[in-house]
Amino acid sequence: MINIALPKGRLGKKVYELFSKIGYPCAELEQDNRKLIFEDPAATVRYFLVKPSDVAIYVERGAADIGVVGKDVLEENRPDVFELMDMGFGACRMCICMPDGYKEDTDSVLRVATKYPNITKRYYKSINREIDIIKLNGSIELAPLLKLSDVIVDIVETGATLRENNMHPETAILSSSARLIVNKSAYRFKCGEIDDITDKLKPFIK
Amino acid sequence: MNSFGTLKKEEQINLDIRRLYELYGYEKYRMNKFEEYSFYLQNKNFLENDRYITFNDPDGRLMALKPDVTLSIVKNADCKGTERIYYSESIFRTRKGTNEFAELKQTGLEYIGSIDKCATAEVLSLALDTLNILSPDFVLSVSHMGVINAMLQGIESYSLRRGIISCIKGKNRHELERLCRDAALDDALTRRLVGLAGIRGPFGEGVAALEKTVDDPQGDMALALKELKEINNVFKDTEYYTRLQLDFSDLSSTEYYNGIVLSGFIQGVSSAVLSGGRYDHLLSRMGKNAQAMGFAVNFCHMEQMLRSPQQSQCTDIIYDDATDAAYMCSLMRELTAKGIRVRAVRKGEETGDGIDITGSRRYQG
Repeated sequence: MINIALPKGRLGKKVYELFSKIGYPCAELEQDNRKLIFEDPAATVRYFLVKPSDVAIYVERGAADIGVVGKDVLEENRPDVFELMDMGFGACRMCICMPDGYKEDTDSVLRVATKYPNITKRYYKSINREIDIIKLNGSIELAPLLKLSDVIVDIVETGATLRENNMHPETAILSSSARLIVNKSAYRFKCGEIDDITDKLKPFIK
Repeated sequence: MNSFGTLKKEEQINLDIRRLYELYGYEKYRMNKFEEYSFYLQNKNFLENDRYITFNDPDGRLMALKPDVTLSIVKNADCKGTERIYYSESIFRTRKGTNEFAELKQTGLEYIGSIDKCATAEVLSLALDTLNILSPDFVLSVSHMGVINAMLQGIESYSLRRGIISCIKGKNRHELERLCRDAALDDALTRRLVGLAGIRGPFGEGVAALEKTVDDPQGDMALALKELKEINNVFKDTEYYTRLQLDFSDLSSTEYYNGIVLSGFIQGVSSAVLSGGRYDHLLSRMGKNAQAMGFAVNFCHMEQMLRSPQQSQCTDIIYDDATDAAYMCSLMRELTAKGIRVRAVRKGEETGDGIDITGSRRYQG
């Protein structure tokens, strides 16, 4: 039995479609219900639907053998897992974004609002810039508009939200896409099965 | 006395492991719970984390609760011949992924002296036996720092080396390829590094795959490959062979290990329960003319598995002020001799029927 942690939402749906195509379907998961665990004994698979930012925790702690999660989440939390595959989809960039016309005052501490404090700290440390991190959990674009921060570090897909709020991405600090991750202990015991999954997924990955 | 589980599962396992090491001629080493802080500071490159619990002793010296056992053993080793040592100690460090200190229990052994192929086989064999005590469903994963060090020879950038090791540890072959391409490493080396990251599974197959990957091994690579082949020959006809894997994701990121690196896993536990390897650098750093190899079992990773089943319920012996205390004691002795758990409770505090010896009542059997 392979236990797979899927992120709730669009990404999870796409990942499930792929797994279904390579021989891991689960009829229960295709029904409209509020269950969180879906099992298909015939296909020897069990799916869990979890919050995207929690996928890596389920895998690292061994509750799930494998999972699919964005590189942004992996870089933020750096879980002790194997990252076996770049699945190619869910591509986005993590960028420093700022209001149009903003000019940085390099003589003062930069106030940065973000959902990703660890990645942000690492980046600014690498360029030796002193910052004041403001950790937010959503609507990050609001922070510079209300003068809560000077800039933000956030995921940019199309940039539409930024444009509508008179902001723009300035510097990309990370490229992200969905990654297949595996528990380090589970891989020792199920490597044949897990490698079989990655081999079957390869033709579907751009 | 054990009929109702006096020994906890962890204690029983620990006893079995200690018995194993005693049978192989290892001697128990007991040490202080602390060392001078400066000792750990000088050797911080050999420690995974540099956060210690410190305090001042009455002489004003800054001390630290032991974050590691091997450092202290090596410091005190006389290295006049072969030393076989085992320990069962607490260490004090932060748990992985947390900012809080914890007391973590470790049981392990150190073989200090000349590490030839027989010594390596002995330590590996004991690591396999140790894992078998923990669970019959185990895997001992082996890698070799000599292989990666030989491959990285000539790469001077510290950050590039660190990036490559991090990708190999995470089996992250796609990032590794990107990293090598961005650093303009030659195609042959990139192919070898990506091949190394992909090696996993049965030991014999892994050694064959490594041989194919490195093509024409020279110098340190040839020595490392020879050592891995010797290990394969030692275990290929044993019951443990299917439990032995070659996997380079078990590389050490500290300066601690220089040769064989070991990681032990048991089914149902999410991270390695045993870790160890060859650590000659540590001895030379301390001015000792010897080699060493060892491993430790980290019990903190097995807390879930080691949880003991609920003990059988106690039989209440119900007494009151009029009860003869001498009779109560003799009854409790009689029942516990039969392996029955008992608990004397004052009338009104009993949780079930129990045995009522209030007033002049007597137990009828």
